[in-house]
Amino acid sequence: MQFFLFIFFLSLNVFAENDFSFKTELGVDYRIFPEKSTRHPNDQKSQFSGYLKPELELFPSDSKFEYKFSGLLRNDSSDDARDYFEIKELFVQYVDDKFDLTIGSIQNFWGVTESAHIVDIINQKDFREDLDGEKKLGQPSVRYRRYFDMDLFSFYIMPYFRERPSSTFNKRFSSALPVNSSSLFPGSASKNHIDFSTRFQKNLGNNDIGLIFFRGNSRDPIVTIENFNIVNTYKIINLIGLDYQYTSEDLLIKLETTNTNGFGKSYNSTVFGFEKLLPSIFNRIEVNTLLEFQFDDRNISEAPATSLDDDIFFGFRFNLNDINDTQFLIGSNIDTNDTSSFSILEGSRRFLDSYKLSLTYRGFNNYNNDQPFYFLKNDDHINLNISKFF
Amino acid sequence: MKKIFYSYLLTIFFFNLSYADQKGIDIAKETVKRNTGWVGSEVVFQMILKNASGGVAERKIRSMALENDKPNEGDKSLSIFDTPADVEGTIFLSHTKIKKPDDQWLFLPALKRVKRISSSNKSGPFMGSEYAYEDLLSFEIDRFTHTFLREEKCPGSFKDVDCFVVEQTPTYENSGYTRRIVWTHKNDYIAVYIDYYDRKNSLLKSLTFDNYKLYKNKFWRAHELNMVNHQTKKSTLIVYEAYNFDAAIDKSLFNANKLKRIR
Repeated sequence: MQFFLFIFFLSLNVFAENDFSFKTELGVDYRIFPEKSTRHPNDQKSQFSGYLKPELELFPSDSKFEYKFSGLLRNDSSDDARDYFEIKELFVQYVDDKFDLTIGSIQNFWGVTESAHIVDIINQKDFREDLDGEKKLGQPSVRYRRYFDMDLFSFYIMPYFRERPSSTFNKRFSSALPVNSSSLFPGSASKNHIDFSTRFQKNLGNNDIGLIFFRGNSRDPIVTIENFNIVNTYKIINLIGLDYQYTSEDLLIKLETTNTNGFGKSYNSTVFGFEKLLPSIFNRIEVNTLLEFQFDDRNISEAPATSLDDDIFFGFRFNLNDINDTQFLIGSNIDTNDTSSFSILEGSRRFLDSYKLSLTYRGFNNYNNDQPFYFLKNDDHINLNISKFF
Repeated sequence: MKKIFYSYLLTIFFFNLSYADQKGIDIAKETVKRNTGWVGSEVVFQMILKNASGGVAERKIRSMALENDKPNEGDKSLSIFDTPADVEGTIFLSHTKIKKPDDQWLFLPALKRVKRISSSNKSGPFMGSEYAYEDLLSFEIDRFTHTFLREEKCPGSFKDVDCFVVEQTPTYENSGYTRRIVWTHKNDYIAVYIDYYDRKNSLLKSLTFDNYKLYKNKFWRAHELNMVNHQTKKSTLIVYEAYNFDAAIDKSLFNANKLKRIR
């Protein structure tokens, strides 16, 4: 049996170079919560989960079509909302020299800043996966991208909207009240509303500029409370966004800014900052400093809540440049209005060639009851992740 | 009389100096001239990293290069990492410039993100190896000053032939070296051996080129490059598979926006 498996994987390897690739990540997450939860006195002190991330790509060499599937299967020891299978990508793509056309569920990333991703508006955030909002649900789309010399124009039609998932009420990272399973879509908003987005990206030497327009269901809901339940309301928004990066030898200057219209009075959100490469240590260790400022003038009585209104993020990223790719990020995000803050420490390194060990710490400080995310104040945690790559 | 004598000495001195500089530049020019016209190439290589205690790690990388077609620009190159598995699909794109900082991008497949990155970290190691980024850049004459030192028998497996020995000093900023000494094959104008001196001017690394093969009757390519770090006792061996010069390299692949599409 093992022999046949061996032959099977060997044959996969032979094909992989030409027509298809198949890879899998298998991992476990162990979360430790040093503090008592604010929600439930007997809430879990730790949480254990396992996951599988398969990824299959087909790209027949004699065809201009290619196909991709990637998914995530997770199983959690204590939170049923974290037992799920998510299709991250499932699409067919027609690839031409000057353009490509994609139909299916896609993952898309836009933006340049590190502490917040405000122009990254195609995919819904998956807060079951993690609090950082960097894990996304697949977005059913028709995407057209047209390539010019160094520039790119892209256009998206999104016929189906996906609501934001969250952890089970009373479990770690959940909101203060249960979330009502039926959301509201006032006006022309609807799960079947056809959303549009377009982006033009221009390179001018050391300057890279992206212009974004989006019309459709807001990915962020506004939260109202009815009968001790949270009701998510999604509205149609018009969003205009700009991202910009200036790149010099050792300094990056970054800007993301958006104007959102649809939740009451239109509002502006901005992230602006720097990334500076410091002289290396022992000619080997690379150190980057990050400094970013976040501004937001929304009125949270009529728009989705944000914690990044008048905040400063400051951090260091270390890359040890060793055989095991050891990396660290240490940083803190401070609200200049009320001095609440959260701190992060992320570290990772490879071991035994195909395994990776990652450690994340997040701590919440000075979170008061009048803040939108006060319910996270005792959810400081350490996440230990071990994954194997096949 | 004394004055004349000194000026005579000075003349000899400067004549020798400029002769040495001119010969150094001539060797560099001939090296570049003989390696012009390859247009594009594609190669798969293995990087074998060894530490002082004998531990070994391997990397597999596919690399494509496009020769510069404008006089004031350097070559373009693309490296796709196939192993280790956790970084599979990561792509490094570089547009080498001669007088200006290089343009560099990194594609991170897990995040679907193309990141334009700072290029000042030339002295930093490439993928945890003993090669610095600057060791892997295409050779451009104006990036160094060149001083001819002597002619002698070549080191390593080229013992039977003579080599030019030239000292090259980086003219670009942020180099990890004060200088490097290059042994160039006298007949074929290919590098055979390089000593690298660190910022304190002590011997840091040596690079041995081996297993040269001739492509298209014109272009020599070494298939084994071994970099030994004398200070840490670590080494990295690069073993190339056969180069492909016939591939019609798609120029548009060296476009940051298209990195997401590369297989």
